[in-house]
Amino acid sequence: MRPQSSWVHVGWITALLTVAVGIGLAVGLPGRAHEGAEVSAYPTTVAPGETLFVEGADINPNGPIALFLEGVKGKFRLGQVRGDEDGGFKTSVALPPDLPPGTYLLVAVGANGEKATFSVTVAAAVSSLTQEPREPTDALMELDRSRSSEEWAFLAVVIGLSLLLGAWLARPERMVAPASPSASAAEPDGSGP
Amino acid sequence: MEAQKTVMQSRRRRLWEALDERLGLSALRYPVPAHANTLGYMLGGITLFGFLILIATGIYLTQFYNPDPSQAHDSVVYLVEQTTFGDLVRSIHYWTANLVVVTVLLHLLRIFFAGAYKRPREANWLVGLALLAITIGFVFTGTVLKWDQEAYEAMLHNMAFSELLGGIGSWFSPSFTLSVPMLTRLYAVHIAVLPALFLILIAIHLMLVKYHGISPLPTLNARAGTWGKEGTGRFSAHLRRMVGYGLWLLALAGVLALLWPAPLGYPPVPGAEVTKPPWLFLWLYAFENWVGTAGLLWPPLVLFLLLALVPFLDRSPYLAPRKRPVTVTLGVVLLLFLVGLSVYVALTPPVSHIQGQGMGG
Repeated sequence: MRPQSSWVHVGWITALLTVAVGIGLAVGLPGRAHEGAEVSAYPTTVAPGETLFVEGADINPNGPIALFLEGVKGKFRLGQVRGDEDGGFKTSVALPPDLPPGTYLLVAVGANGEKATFSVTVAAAVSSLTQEPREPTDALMELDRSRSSEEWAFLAVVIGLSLLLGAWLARPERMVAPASPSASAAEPDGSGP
Repeated sequence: MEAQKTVMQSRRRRLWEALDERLGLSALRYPVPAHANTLGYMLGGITLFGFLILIATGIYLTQFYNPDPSQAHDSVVYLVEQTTFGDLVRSIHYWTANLVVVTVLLHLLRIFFAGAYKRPREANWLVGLALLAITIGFVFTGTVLKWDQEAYEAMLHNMAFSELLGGIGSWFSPSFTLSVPMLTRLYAVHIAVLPALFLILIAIHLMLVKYHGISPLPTLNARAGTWGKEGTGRFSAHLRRMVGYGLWLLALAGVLALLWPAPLGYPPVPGAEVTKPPWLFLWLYAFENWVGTAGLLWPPLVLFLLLALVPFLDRSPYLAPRKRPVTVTLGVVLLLFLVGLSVYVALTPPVSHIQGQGMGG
């Protein structure tokens, strides 16, 4: 009977947690999404050299706000505007004509540290296959593979833990004589399949 | 002290019984003979653990990889150079994939030499072959995704292969749809189609292993038709050892990732064929040298057909290799032939098979 009663408790606790998390998500998240710094741009897909219309809110009241695009090819500064008394702004910026195509984050960051982002796609003017006329090669790229201390720690943990835990788990089975006829069927150590 | 241990064991047993009653975990269990806990009989389990590593690392990589042909290579460079753990996770993914191919092939060889494909396990042998084909599909599509010169040339071979297949091959060709580039579609195959097929087949594979039990040791008098319904080992200990070996696979992939990070070539340039395929496909490259692109289709088709027919051609009732000299000798000759071809291709300069074709992904 004991396992059954403990399972009822587990069931109730899980149900209460589920309801609590559900209420939290329903009430909290939409509220947060509409609070704080915001930035948006139009159009969301734009070609290099074209104009992007940018609008921000609640970033830096009466202070400077820097605008830039951040993508896999690096950061491209678009300019600086001044926030109104509510920290908002409306402006248009010309994108650099040599901006590489790709997906970027438009970042608006105030001098006060308040920051907002918006996703912008810069259309490919030409395919990457034809951008750089050169000979095909089987050579490998020299990439910057310097590792941070977190990465070294991650690798050490992955290798060390896998080796040690693996050695412990892969140890040979201890041969123990079954205590009763039903023992072997019921997994005597209780550790399951 | 003894009383405390008994209480602990009793609690663990109660927990196990409560879980088992609700989840039916004991239904997964199968009899474990002593030899099932040896490395050779755990290669399938180790491979499955390797696939779990590939799924975990693959999910991380999808957060940074962009399958648009104009962005794909840049996104891999970004992943390697600018993201935390990106290079390490990609390298562990790369090395685990290579190690999984090794364990899959060793698993197949163990089954072949132990005669474990014989009655009643013929169907599971065929399911295993389908899983091998899916593994090869994973390696091929994974090679294309990095979108360097080697990847681009692999894509051209994909096109040539689709032409060889005629009408059936249209799904593999860029003309199938104009709205999605071929690279993006192969990405979908790599992260959705192949994993779905893999999950279905691995479920059947494991169900049949449980149904038939572990195949017997190929001792001199061992015969086909034996069900593995007896075993003194505990299933929990069997699984534990399997996970242990799987973790060693992860450790090995980690060490290899540290010593030789996953390579990346330069962005692709259409024109001459200057790279060689990954080692798994080297033997095919030799056929392509001899007979052109038709070498991409017929040799693997014949090889898979031969492997599929093995349980039906080898009618010997015995499992021991010594009592199946013809099958085993043919298998060894075929194996040496494929290894020899691969070594030959690895040592010779690359040859251009597909010229004058270009595509944007």
